[in-house]
Amino acid sequence: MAESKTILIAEDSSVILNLTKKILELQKYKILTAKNGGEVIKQVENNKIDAILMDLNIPVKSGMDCTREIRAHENKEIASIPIIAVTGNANNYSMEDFKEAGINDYLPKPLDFDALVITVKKYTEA
Amino acid sequence: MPFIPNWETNTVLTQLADALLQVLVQLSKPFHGVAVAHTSGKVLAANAQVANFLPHATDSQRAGSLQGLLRLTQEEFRELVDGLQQQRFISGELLPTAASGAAPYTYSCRLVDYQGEVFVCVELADTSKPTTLAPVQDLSYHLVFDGSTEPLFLLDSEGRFIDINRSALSLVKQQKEDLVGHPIFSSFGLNLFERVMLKKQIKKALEGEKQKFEWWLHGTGQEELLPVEILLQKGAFAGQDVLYGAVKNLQEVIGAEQDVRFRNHQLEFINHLITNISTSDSQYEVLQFTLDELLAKSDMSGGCVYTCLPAEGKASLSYSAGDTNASPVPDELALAPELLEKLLTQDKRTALAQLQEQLQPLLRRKLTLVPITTEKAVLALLVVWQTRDTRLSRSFMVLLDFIGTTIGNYIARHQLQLQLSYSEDKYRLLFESSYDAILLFKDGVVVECNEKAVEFFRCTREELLGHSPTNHSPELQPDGSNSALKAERLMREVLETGKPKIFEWQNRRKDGTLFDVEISVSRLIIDNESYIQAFKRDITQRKQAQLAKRREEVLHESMEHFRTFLDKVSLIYYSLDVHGNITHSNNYFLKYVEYTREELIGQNFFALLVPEQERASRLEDFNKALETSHLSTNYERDVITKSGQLKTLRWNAMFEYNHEGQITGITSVGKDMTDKRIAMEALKDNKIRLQDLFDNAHDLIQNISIDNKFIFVNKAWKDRLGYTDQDIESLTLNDIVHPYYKAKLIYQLRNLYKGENVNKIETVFLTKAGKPVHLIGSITCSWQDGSPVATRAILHDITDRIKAERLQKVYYSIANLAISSKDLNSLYSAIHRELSKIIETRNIYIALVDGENKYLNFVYLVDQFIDKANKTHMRRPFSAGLSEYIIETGKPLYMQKNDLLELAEREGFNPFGATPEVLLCSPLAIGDRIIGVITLQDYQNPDAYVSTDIEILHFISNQVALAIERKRNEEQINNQNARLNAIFESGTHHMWSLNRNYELTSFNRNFAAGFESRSGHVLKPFTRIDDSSIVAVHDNSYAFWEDKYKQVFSGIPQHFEIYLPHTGIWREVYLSPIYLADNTFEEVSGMALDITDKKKSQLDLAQSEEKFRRIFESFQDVYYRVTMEGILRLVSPSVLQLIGYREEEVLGQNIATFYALPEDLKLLRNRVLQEQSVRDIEIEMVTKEGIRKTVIIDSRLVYDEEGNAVAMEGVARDVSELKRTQKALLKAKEEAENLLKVKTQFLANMSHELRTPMNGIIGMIDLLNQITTDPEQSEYIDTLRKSSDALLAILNDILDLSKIQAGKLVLHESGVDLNETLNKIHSLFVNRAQQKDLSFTYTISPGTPRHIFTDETRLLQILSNLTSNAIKFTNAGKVRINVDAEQLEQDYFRLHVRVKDSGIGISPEDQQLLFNDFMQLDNSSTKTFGGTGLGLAISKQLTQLLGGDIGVESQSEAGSVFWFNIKVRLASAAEVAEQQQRQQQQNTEVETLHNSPYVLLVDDNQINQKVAQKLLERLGCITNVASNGYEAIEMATKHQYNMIFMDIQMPEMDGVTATNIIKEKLGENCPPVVAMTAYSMKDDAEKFMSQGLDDYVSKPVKSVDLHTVIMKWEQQNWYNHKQLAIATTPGENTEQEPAQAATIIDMDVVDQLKQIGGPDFVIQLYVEFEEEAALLIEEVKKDLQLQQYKAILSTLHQLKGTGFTLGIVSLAGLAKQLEHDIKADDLEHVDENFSKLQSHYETYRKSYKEIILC
Repeated sequence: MAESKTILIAEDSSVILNLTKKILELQKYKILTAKNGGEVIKQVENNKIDAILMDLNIPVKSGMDCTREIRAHENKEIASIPIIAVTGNANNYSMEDFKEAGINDYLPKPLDFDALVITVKKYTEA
Repeated sequence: MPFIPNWETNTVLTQLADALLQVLVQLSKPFHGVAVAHTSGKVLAANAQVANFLPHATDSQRAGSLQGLLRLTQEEFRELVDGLQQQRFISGELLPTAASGAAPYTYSCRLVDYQGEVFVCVELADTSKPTTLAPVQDLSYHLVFDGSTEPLFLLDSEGRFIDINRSALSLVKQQKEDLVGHPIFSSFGLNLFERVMLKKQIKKALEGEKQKFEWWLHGTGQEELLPVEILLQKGAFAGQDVLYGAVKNLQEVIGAEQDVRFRNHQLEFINHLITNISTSDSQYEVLQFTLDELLAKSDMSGGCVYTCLPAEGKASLSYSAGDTNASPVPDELALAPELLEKLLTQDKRTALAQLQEQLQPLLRRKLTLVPITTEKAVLALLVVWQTRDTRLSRSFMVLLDFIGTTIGNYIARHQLQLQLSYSEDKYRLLFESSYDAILLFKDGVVVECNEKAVEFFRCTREELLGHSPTNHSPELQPDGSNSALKAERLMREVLETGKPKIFEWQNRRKDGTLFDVEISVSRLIIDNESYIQAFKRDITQRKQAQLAKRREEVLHESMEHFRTFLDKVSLIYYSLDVHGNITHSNNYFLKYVEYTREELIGQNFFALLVPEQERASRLEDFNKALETSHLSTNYERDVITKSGQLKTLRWNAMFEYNHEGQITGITSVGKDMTDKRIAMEALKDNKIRLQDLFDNAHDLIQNISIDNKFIFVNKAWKDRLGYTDQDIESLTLNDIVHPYYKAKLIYQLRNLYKGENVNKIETVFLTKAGKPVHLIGSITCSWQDGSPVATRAILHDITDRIKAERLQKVYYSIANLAISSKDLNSLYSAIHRELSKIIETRNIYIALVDGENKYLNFVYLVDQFIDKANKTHMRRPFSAGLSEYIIETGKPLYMQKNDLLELAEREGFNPFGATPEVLLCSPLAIGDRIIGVITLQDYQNPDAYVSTDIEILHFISNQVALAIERKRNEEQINNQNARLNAIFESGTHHMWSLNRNYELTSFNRNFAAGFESRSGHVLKPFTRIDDSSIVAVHDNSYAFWEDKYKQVFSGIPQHFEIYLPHTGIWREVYLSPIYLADNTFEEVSGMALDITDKKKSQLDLAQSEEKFRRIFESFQDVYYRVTMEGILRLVSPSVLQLIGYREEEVLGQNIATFYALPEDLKLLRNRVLQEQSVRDIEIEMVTKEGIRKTVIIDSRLVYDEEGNAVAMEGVARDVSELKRTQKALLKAKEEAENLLKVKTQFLANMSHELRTPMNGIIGMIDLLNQITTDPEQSEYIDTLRKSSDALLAILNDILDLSKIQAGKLVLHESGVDLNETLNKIHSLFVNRAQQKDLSFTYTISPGTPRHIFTDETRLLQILSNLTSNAIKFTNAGKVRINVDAEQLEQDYFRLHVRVKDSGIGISPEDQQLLFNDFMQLDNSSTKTFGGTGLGLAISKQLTQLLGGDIGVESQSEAGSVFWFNIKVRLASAAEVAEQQQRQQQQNTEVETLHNSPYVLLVDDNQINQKVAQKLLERLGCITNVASNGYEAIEMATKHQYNMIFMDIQMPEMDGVTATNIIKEKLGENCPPVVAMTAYSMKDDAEKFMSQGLDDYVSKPVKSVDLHTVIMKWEQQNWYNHKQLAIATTPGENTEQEPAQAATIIDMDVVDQLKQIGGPDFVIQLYVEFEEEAALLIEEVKKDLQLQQYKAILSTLHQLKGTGFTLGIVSLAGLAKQLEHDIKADDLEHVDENFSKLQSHYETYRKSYKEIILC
């Protein structure tokens, strides 16, 4: 990896946040975090981000809302950031919902670490 | 063996007595009786010999007491004892009694103190023999032994201590009681290695080799090893081999050495100190140096020096060094003066101690004080200390003391000297620093001087002192006065008057140079003695300046004188400066050159006065003269006057110098010669006319002056000698006379000058070209005023004549050379030498051609350009060179270079090599035949040869050619002779010739030697062969030879072989007539060759042929040879045995006749033709009787000499019998294999059939055991269990073995914890061992890898086989397992396991049978030991499978060691982890499951159903049962089971099929299906797994296995996924609290997290969860109170997600449940579940840290 890619993790549980961060840091990613939807938008606008791991169940703005907002962003670069949803309630949404919102992929909870790494890689190295 | 009376005695006393007896026996003679008795008379010990003195049976009673033994009454005995107590030794004689009839014997008694007890020792001996006890005063042995300072001990042959002395005891710090009787090996805590070593030493010592070796003793506690040297020596004691041992404490030895070394060091140290401080100037430096040295060379770490100031009562620090950091040293110390004084008295020690006590607190360290004292005062205190608080050695204290006084004395002495020299120094300083030289005289000699004076005189002080001034002065002073007198006078005056004087003086140095001084002298009175003090100041330079000035003046004056003088004479005078300008001239010169003074002075002489044509060269001469400071003293030169007249002057010149000796110019004084010259020239005219006359003469005429200069020579002279007029002017006679003739000529001239008449001179002049010219003629001398002026000689050239004479001589000598030279080479050199006498021969070669003109050989070549070292003859093909040209033309040639080149071009030859300036070349001809050329040439000088020389060469060349030819012929003849001779004499041939008189006319050495060796006479030519001396010597006989010779003389050559028995040699002899030219013969020649070898090999060949024939005839196989057509040509007689025909019957037959099958023959024939050689071709043959025989044939082609195949040969062997046997064997093998297969199959089948009932039995017993409480029942059950276990073990054995034999056993390797494995074995067998009261232990040697990769089951199987055997066959003692390992390569080890027992042992014969199948050693009827006897056979197979071997070492009755080794690999980390996890599972106790899994059991067998169902229920499972596959499918689809246990072998539908259908139907919801099968092998299990089953338990099923498998699947979370389903499934177990049973944290998850982030990270995660979850739960709680269910959802969701991620399964599960319920609006259980969740959280909070950390 010539230059480490930056991943934004949006997650309100600090346990999961730290865990995910650790796993991705081991893979030499640079990690930014956001504990709620508002922070997500701020981080996205202030940093160059290569992918977002988005827990859908976050306060202020839900992951789905954040995704929609990002996709609608005037900055083309921001609007095209790959977003991977993380949720324990995949059943609540259909793939159509995800597609509609602009989510590229999703990971169910509890997190499968291998799947996490593979998926993040898939979207950062494309 | 000691004879011990059968009495009851105090055992201790008896033992002591016994020991004493053994000692005494050692001391006494072997046939003496020795007894030890108590003072009461009771015999405690006696040796066997005592009985000899008591021959009667009744006597044996007497042996019990001394009284009886010595035939004493009680009274007498008491007297004896009393006597002994006084004398300690009493002896007497016992006369034989009538009753005893024994011989008389003496006795000696002694009282002996032994080990604190008193014994009476008695020795009995025949009267005649002295006793040993007698001379021994005191009990020497033991006293000496025990009292010896050397540690000593006595060992028996087993290494047990017999005795050990006090020194030794104290060395090893042990009690005697602890050692005596015990082996040395076990007494000192020796390790194995040490024991082995010691044993070896003892063994060697017992073999009689005295052993001396270094050893070490382990001290107690943490002490270091004590090195000792042990000496072991074999001896005998009490009739047994014992070892005497002595120990030497090496530490003491080393200590003593160190002491000596240290003393030496001390002395060295002091010496070093004293040597070095002698360069120090002050007390301070001395002490500083001493301290530094002390610190450097001892282990003192620091120190300081205090200078004592007793007056002030203190000491001040003057120096400190080393370690002073710890606490600073005070600058001053208050010291009581009394104390210091005390240091100088006897009380020094106490004073020092006091002082030390005072100072220690001040300096805050432990000190050692060294007072530096003189006799009168304490100068200083040297204080030293060390870091470590160790005691100073005594020797070091002595050293310090010594240093103190030595240094003190030194300082005192030093100070004294200082004081003394102090005053002296002041004076000396002044004295030495003076600028002037100062000398002090007394009585006229120098008594003292300063450095400057030495400098002045450039000598040593010693050379001045004691000498008077005159020794250093020239004899006379510059003013002319005598130095000695003047000095004496001056000194006297000063001494008398006391007035100082100043005067100048000249001194002479040692090297002879003079120098001027100004001396001021004064009188000095010291100690009433008068001295003269002289100050000298060097004034040489001043003097020299004065002198130089004076010299210049003188020079000037003299020049002036000279010039005035010159002005007055009629000589020309002028001076030139260095530039050639005229500086002075006299008037005469002015007048002469017609210039005024003004015109001349300052002008350049050469420009003005020298004729133009000479100007340059004369100026050059002038400059050269100045440069070289060399003038030709007189010369004639011309000058031009002002009017242009040329005047000749004869000059004398000299250099002018300035006062410094430099050339300033040249002064010339000259005389006019002009007139004289004119006169001479006139004379010359006359001479020229005369000369014409001379010139026309043919003779050489010369006129030379007396100084040998040529005045005149005529033209002939010049022509002949080649000199020009110019040459002649510069030449003298000396230059042209040939050096050989010079002396003679000069002699003749001298005679001439003397007035003698010299009629004829004969001499040789050299021409300009250096060639000699021989002259003969007359010489006359012209006289003038009575003295000779010149000579005139008329000389006639006789060179040619001389040459001709020489030529002739050479010609003859060359002719002679051919005879005198020893070979061609020397001939050539001789020719060269001879030629050089008449002609220049620097380069010469002789080239010869061969007869056919093919080659040109340069047989002789001397050439400037060709390296002489390269002596090999040059040879070149006859081509177009100069030599060839000469040979072809046959004409001699004289050529100059240019002519030669021209000729070469014209004639088309190539002058090889460097082209000479001139050459002479002549053919070498003999008559018309030209054999070569001889060539002379010169590369430098074209005049080296003249044309006439070629005639000379040509003239000689004929002779040369003849000489060469003659020599060549001669050599050829010689060579021919030599060759013939060589042939004649060489080799082993005998050659001889014989004339008709039977005389030997010639013979070679071999022939002669042959005769000589046999006859003893030297064989002389013309000996008759029938001479009596040799007639007997002829080989064979004379008659034989005579007959042969007769035949030859009759004209028939003879050729025969003859054997010479005396030498064992065979000779081949040829006798032939020697035919003369006329075909008659007078002689015969004989030649004999040694043909022994040939003959021998011929004979050998014949023999070997014979041998071969015999072999051939005795051949078992049939050898045959057939033609290419198949006709038998050769066959060995054995053909009869093969096919019943005789040899002669088959020869000539076609081989096809004997072949049973024509295709066999065809095949064989084709293969042989193709492959040349074939082997093992099987064919069928028919015998004479018509029987078929199988024959194998090796056959090959036979070739003739040209390589054509001409025949086939072969060997045939009858293999019919072999064939039959082979077939039978094959059949037998097949049958056997079939049988084995059947057996294996049978066993495999049977085992299955047996297992099913076993399953029932064991299962039920298991259950019974669980429910029974009655102890009696329990006991029965236990017996049942054991029996069934044993039965199962047997079954397993049989099955295993059949598996192994069928090659079906597959290893299942995994990570194994070796400790665990052995632990298993131990716990498995420890009870059994305990029951038999055996100790059962195991050890794993250090270095054995703990985690290995192997098949643990199999390893355990081997181990348990061996262990159970060991326990089985051991009735008392111990069973011990030892494991160690040896590294093979990187990760591979060979594991060695030894199972050692102390059982009955195994005889070597049995050992061989041990590992065979079905073999029990104890086949006796009793058969105490049960078992299949398969264990070891299986173990053997298993060890081989595991890459190792197994074996036993045993002796009957002495226990056995069963060992095996296997090859293992170090387990990888992952394998270790896996193993640990497995172990963990195994460790979990079989306990009731709390979650009551819902289980379906499928089995067709009623018994098995029952067993399994009961087992499962006991585990807490809710169990449904299906009896076949269909039922199973039905039930599985109807109910949601947590697990299905499926039997595999069922009628109608087997388990695999049923499982697949169930899986198909249920899909993902299918619970794990676990196979239950009697196919207990793991490979079977894997087969089932691959067929769709999830897991496997082996029948007979055990609760442990069931529990494990349920737990396993539960841990893999099936439980959680299915939990909901279970919860909703109606049934009694819904009441169960599912969450409770779930583990708090899934350790798999924790481990995974740990792998990602490490333990700290994991803890952090769980801590965070604790906090986060608390908040979330609080939120849920709030929302629940408000019944805000929807709001709870996301919180629960987060809790669930995070919980599952961290593996906090139960908590997360509850959260999920809640989430699910709320979503479904099923709020019935929400509150309940939430409180559960809360309690789960609490459980988590309390325990998670422990769980994670474990």
